[in-house]
Amino acid sequence: MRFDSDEDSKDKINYRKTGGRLLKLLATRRAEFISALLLLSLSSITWLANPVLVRHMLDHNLPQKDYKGLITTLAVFLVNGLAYLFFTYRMQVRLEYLAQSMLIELKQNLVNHLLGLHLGWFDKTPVGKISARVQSDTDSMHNMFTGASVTIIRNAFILFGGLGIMIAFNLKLALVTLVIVPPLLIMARIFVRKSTPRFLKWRKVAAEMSGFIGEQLQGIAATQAYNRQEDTAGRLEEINDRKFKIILHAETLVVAFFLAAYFCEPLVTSLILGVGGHWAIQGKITIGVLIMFIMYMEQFIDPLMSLSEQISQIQRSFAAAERIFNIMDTKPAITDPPKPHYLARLEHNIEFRNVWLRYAEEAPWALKDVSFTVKRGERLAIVGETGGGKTTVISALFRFYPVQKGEILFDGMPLNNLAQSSLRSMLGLVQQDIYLFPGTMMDNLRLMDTSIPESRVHDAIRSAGLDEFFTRHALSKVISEKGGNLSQGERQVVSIVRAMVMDPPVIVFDEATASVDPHTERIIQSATERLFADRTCVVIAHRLSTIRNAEQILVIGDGEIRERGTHAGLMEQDGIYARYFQLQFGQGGGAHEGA
Amino acid sequence: MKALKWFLPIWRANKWRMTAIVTLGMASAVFSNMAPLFIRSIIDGLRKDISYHLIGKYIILIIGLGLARYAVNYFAQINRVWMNQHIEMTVRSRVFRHLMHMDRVFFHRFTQGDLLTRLTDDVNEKIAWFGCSGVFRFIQALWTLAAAVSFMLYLNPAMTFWAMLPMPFLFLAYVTMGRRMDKLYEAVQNSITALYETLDACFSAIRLVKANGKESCQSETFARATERQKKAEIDSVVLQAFFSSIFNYVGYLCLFVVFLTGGRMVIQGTLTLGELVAFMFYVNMIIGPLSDISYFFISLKRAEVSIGRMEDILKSRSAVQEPRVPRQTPRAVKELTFEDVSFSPGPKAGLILKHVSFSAKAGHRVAVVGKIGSGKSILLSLIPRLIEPEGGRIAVNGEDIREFRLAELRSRIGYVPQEAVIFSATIRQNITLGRETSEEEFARAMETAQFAGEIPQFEKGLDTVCGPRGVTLSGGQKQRLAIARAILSRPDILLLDDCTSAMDAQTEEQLWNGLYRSMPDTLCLVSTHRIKTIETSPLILTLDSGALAEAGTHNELMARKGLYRSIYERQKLADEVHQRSSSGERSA
Repeated sequence: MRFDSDEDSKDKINYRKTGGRLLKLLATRRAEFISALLLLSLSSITWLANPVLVRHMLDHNLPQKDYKGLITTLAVFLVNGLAYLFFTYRMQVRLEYLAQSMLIELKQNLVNHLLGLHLGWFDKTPVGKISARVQSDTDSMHNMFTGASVTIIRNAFILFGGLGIMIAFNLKLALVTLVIVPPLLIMARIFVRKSTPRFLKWRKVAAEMSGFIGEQLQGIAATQAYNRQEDTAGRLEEINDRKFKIILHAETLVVAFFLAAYFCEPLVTSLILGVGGHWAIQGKITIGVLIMFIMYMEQFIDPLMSLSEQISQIQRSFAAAERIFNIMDTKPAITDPPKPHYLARLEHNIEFRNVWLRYAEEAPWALKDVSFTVKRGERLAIVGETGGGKTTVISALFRFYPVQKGEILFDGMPLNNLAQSSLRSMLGLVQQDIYLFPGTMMDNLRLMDTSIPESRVHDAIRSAGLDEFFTRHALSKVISEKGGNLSQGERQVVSIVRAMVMDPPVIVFDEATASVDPHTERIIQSATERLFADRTCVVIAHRLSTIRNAEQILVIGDGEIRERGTHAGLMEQDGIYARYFQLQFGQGGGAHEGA
Repeated sequence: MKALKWFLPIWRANKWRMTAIVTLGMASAVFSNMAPLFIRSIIDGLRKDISYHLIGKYIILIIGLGLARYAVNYFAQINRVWMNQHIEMTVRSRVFRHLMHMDRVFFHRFTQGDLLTRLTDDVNEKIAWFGCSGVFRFIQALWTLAAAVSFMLYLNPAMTFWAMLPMPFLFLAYVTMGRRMDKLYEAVQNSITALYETLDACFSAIRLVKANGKESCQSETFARATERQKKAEIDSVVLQAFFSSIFNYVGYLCLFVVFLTGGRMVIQGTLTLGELVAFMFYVNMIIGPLSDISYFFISLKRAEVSIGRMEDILKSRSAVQEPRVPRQTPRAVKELTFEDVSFSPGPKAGLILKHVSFSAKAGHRVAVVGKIGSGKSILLSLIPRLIEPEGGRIAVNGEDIREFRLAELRSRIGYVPQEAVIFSATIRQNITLGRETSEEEFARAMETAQFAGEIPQFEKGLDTVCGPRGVTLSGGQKQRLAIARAILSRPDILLLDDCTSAMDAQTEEQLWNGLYRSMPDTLCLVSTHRIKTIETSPLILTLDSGALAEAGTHNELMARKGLYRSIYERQKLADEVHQRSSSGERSA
């Protein structure tokens, strides 16, 4: 079950605008589109030829007892039939290729655009919704391209073509049979009007059902602890019951409508045989023509009825397309300046100068007048309680969020003047939450960048002193389900190696707080120290060794720098840092533990 | 045919409706196959000077048949729809009810998403539809086929043979193609799942991706995944298109054979023109039922898979079972004892609670402390029997809790889990959870739980709806609601799993004072980090990796200078530091 776009958009769909944009996708594929159209027409023509051939057989070959003629007619019939099948097959395949090509382009453009959007946008948009836009919305458009729109065109072809042939053979009878069309269309219209609200109710109750079940599965502990099992089961039955009635209500209409439409078949047959038969007795029309008319009319009923379904399919697809284009129209808030600068490496320092940052207009300040300098090759450790502003410093450094007041400078160059690509290749990030991608361990270590040779990964592993670790954990191991098969320790190791592989001049490191077994802890510590060697480091620190060896320590709380200095200096001050240190590491300075 | 056996009880329970469906199906089959006979009569009549009057008669018959068919099909289909929905309802109810009684171990084995899919998708599309429509459209198709063949034989046996000749091949083609279609369909589904995984991973990790400038790599990864979907879908469509060509081709072939042999017979005079036309109609009529018949085998397979998935759930047993001969639950809980209790989450996993023994008296508060993952929540969950211990026993007043009726035991326990559960309902309903209570008791519970003061900020007060379509309570409010829920029925045992983390010290003190006042005899087990609460508890249990490291009063444990002491001191410092850095020392 997919996170389906259950958003019944109440906004009006701008068909012209959206249609225009969709047509642009088609514009680059004119040749394929025309050939598909050609195949469509050939398929329709060959189909239309059949009743004519049958008529010829019934009116000429058989009454004239012309066996040879019969065989000729039938040979043509067979060949025509094969041609029809061939053209239809080719058309369907061609259409599928065309649709896939268009959708892939659309999807890829969407994903590329998304990748360029700023983090602030992602904060507001759940990942599930993004996936729905990229995948299920485009899927619904797929149906429109290969199903609804083609069917409508083909049916139009057959309807008008067939009508033309019928008129050519007998105008009067053709007009008589057309009598059936208005009632059918009116019936279809009434059906759509009445069924839409019923289907809407159906979708709503289905969503309610899923929501209820999902919620109950989550809250099963409370349900059991308070003996609410029977009660809850009863409530499910109540929803079940309601769903039952709603579906029955909707289906009754569907059945009534479709069967009524199928009733048109004997009705039309009777009409043709009745009126036509009348004329046949008078010698004004032949039997073959009558049969031919019946064959055409039978094929007209389906198209007329399914027209409404196809129209609603197209509506849904357009709504989906609009949602996608809305995203494409969202501009990234953080972009490169018109003449971006590039820095190959850090020569001197990184400086925060009176930086003020908040995440939104009405939000409180997350950073207040923060100023500090990190010299090249230095290690800066940042400590403080959760939510105090440590992560915000990192976000500012990476230019994930804009700074409202003050400046951040790299070797004197303001951050905003740097090309983002240059900034990001100079900085490396090791986060607390470690994300894993579907693929092998090797792929994950190089962040899915296949342009990085495997040898570089091996070198990184060696530099980090993790050879032994990776003999136990194969590089070809496939990471499953967001890394469910990796332990906390393994994840931390992965993130350190990743940083080693990226080999940036500046490392920004958000130390993990989750505890691991002492052995893994030692390996991680040692690898971390090797990572820090010969690099400029900004570390949100939790480990004793990391803090102790830092040239500068900042204590950040409530968005401000509370204390700064070296470890010795801060201990002497006997302020927040001193208390914090004592708390975390006690007298012995062992590995940290939570209470 | 395991699937069919599975449906038998439901069919039997609705035997009149099922009989109606079958009979109506037969009638429909006959009616739909009679029209060509009348057409034949008209055509032959036209060659021989038929009267208007007679044509008129046949016309009326055709229309009449059409109406009869409409009526019969209408009722048949409505009943099928009814039956489909009924099956859906019944199966879903049954499975859900079963789920309600499963223990936590079960819910670790099956993820929520998986269970949700089984209760919706599998039930709706594969099982319910097949259970009636799938099977009975198949049966109706058989009738239709039989009726058509009978009428054809009545018209002309030799022609019947020729007309039916290509049919078996069609049937075979359908079935073999159908199997391959399933495989390709599965490949498409897998490729789509992989795409969702890729998207999910990429955008969850967007910060990491952007920080390292790896956007283009993600783009490439995505391109590979869509390529895979494209290929799978094209393969699927190609087969489908090819298959429908074959299908139509056989139809053509049949017509060709009919026209050739029939045409010859008409020329020779052994067949009338009308009869030929009738055969043409019959051939067209048979194609539909044939596809229904072949589709049956495909949907049978799919239904079997889904039924298997249902049986997976239905056959699971909860470790928590009702006693065969339940004992009378004691009127008052005087003592709770753990005797050598251990717990393991599964046969291959080790023990995560190891040989824990202690004893607590009514009116006492037991504080449970320990690191994350030391087993505190497990210990608490064992008491209302949300999970079953691997070894040892838990006793109330000396009697094993397994001897009591489950519902009665649970009604005497108030349990507040770490993650408070809020349902989509009003605040009042969330607290009462359907229990009968007086206004005084309700008010008392609200006051004691320190929740009463939160109500005024909600527009509709206690009738405010919570949940995705209502308000979202803050963490602290959820905790207090859960506490109010727990103490509403004045439980004998109150279990609080770290549910005061969002309360400040003062509020928590008021909570405890309130509890002591209104429920002095209640035995409380609290998992907490609050110094004050722990210090003043008559019994403190210190857990370390599932084992009971130390037990005693605060003073006793401090004197031991062991694990408890270090935890206590650390927590004390943490409290101080937090107070300090959030209150004072603003830089100039």
